[in-house]
Amino acid sequence: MAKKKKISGLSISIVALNIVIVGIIILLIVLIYLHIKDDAGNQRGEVTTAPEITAGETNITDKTQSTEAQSEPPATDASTEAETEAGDPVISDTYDPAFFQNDLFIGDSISTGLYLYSFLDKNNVFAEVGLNPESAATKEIDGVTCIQKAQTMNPKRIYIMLGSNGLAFLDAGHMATKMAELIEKLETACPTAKICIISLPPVTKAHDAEGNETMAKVNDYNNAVKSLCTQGGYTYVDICSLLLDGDGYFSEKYAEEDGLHFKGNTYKILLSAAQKAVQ
Amino acid sequence: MKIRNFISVLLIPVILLTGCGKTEQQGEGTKQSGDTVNVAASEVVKAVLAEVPINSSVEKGKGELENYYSGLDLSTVEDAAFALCGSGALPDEIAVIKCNSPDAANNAKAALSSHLDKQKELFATYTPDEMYKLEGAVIFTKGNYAVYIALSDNGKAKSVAEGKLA
Repeated sequence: MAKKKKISGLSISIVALNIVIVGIIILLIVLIYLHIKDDAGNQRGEVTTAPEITAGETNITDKTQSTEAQSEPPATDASTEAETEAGDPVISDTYDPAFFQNDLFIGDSISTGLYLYSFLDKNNVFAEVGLNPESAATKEIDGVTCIQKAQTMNPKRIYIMLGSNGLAFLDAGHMATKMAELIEKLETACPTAKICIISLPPVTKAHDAEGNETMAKVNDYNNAVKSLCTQGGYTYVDICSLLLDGDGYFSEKYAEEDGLHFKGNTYKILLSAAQKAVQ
Repeated sequence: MKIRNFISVLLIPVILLTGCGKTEQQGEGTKQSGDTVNVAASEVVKAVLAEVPINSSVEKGKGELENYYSGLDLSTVEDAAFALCGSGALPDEIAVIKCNSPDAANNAKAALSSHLDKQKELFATYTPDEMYKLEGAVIFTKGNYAVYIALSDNGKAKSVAEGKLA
């Protein structure tokens, strides 16, 4: 008579079979878990998924920009060159953020993008919507004028890009005169600072057609401030010619929808030109 | 007997493995004690932007709050997220600030109201066509949260934000 060993009514073979089945299932679960974990890790590595915002971090989501632009940190010395339209020369967007750490940028809403997009620290930028060469000397931001800020900061270089807001109602000569007055005050406040005037950027063909800010006015003003730079020994940074399309207007590759402001990546070209102009 | 053994073979692994299952995850906007909602400020901002986007949007966190909103008592702010137009061309903006108390949220609301006044002053002559976003701007509190909305569809944005904070 064959004896079967039983444990609480179950034969050893049944118990063993259960253990084997549980073991297989656990093994399967572990394999599935590792597979899922690996997938999640790969997705995180792609960066294009919306990152969690933490203190001090900035997430750029420019709907008109490429995915690359959204996930890229500000350019560094690592060589990255902006491709231009077919046939155009390659335009550099390479710059060193540390180069500007003791510099001050004075500008209007276009220049606010320098810190909004986190290309520069906000402390390095004195900019506000609507500012022009006439209003810049007296307008207060956070309780100080640009003159007072410059005096406190004592920057190595002062970059000024102002004028877009005056094109519609101020003539080029008047704005250039106001620019000269502003520079004089800045020089008094910061005698050792190098003064650099950045040209006005172009406007798109569509914006030009509206008649308020036109390429003719942009060119007039840029010529006036270029003369000012020649006379005063200031550095002239020509950003305008870098951003033109084949027809002589602001390339839509670089322009915001309004035809006046910058897309995120355009700031890299601006900073690259600003750095190269003084090196 | 064989049937009973067969069933036990099937049941034992099932019983053992049911203990391994995860309990259902808590929702995004879980409620703490009472009616206090606990949802990440960035989640509210993302939810609103998904429905009412900002052109060339940049999203920022608590660490940059003081650079953009004056008058806030940062010591009372537990979490914050805000988004605005990176090119500086538009007044579009949403800010969600989580404070440590409803009173602190009301103080944050006052700071946001001052911010709105400043924005109106800046954009009134600059882009009059965009002023409807600021004229119809919404600032409200919900528990410990203060919310600022100046977007192209403020009603829809408010509805989404309130939904996330409900």
